[in-house]
Amino acid sequence: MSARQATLISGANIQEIDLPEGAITIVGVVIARYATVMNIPDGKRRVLLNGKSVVETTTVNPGDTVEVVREAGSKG
Amino acid sequence: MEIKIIGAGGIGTHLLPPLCRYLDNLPQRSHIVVLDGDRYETKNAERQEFDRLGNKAEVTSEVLAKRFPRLEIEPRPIYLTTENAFVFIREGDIVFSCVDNHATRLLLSEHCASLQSVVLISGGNEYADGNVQVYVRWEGRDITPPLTHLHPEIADPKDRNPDEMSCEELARAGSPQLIFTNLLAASLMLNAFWLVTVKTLPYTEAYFDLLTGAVRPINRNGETR
Repeated sequence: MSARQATLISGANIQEIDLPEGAITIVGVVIARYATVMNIPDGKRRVLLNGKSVVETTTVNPGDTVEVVREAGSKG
Repeated sequence: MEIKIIGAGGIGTHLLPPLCRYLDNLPQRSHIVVLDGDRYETKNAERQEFDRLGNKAEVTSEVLAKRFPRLEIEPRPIYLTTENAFVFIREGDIVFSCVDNHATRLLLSEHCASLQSVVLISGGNEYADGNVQVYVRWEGRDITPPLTHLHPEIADPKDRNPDEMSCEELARAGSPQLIFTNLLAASLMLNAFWLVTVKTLPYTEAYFDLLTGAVRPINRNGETR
């Protein structure tokens, strides 16, 4: 991981993400940037920052781990 | 071991044969109860293992009892409900939740929370991904979080217990599934079972995604509730 990177997790998938210098790095913006590639659904979601529940206006810092808690599978 | 299998559909049908093979070769005898109020229909053949049409619990138990005569396998052709949960899920049980709705997952989690010692292994999937959760209680204490932890969709389910649905509603509730996704959920549930029984479970939940080939175990103990 480089100096300006964080980790984004959704379900089984993990990606190292860049936090560009000077860019807005709040949780909601970071998730939106990677939503398509990580297949993160829109709408109400639970987000953990370094394992703690946070609101999406919380700032993501280099080295942080952001997890979008994926819903449990409903079928079987 | 006292084993309860709730649901003998897409996941349950793949979980049961290897579980029975494993239990059959243990020194101690095991008693397995299979609960499912649903019936195998021709359309299930693309994902589910059965040799005749009929109630899923009865058909599956009949086949497995012949194959593994040392095991006591008991079918219960009914759905789990709030009225009968206390009869079927008891102290010391190992419960596999292979159901297709969050309402029954909530019922199982809440009922297990009322017991002193129990293991609940729950699997669920969408078309190509899913998760497995392991809820362990020991001597009145949560060793791992209940199924509702970080999962509001289970805590406040939008679906209903199949026992409360009409035949038409049940027919409409079905959505496309993939046999390989069911199989992976079943396999991860069995992995968790094996780990729990040898007492070295290093995670409380595992996500999987067939599209990327990823499986991610997570230890949710200690996270914000």
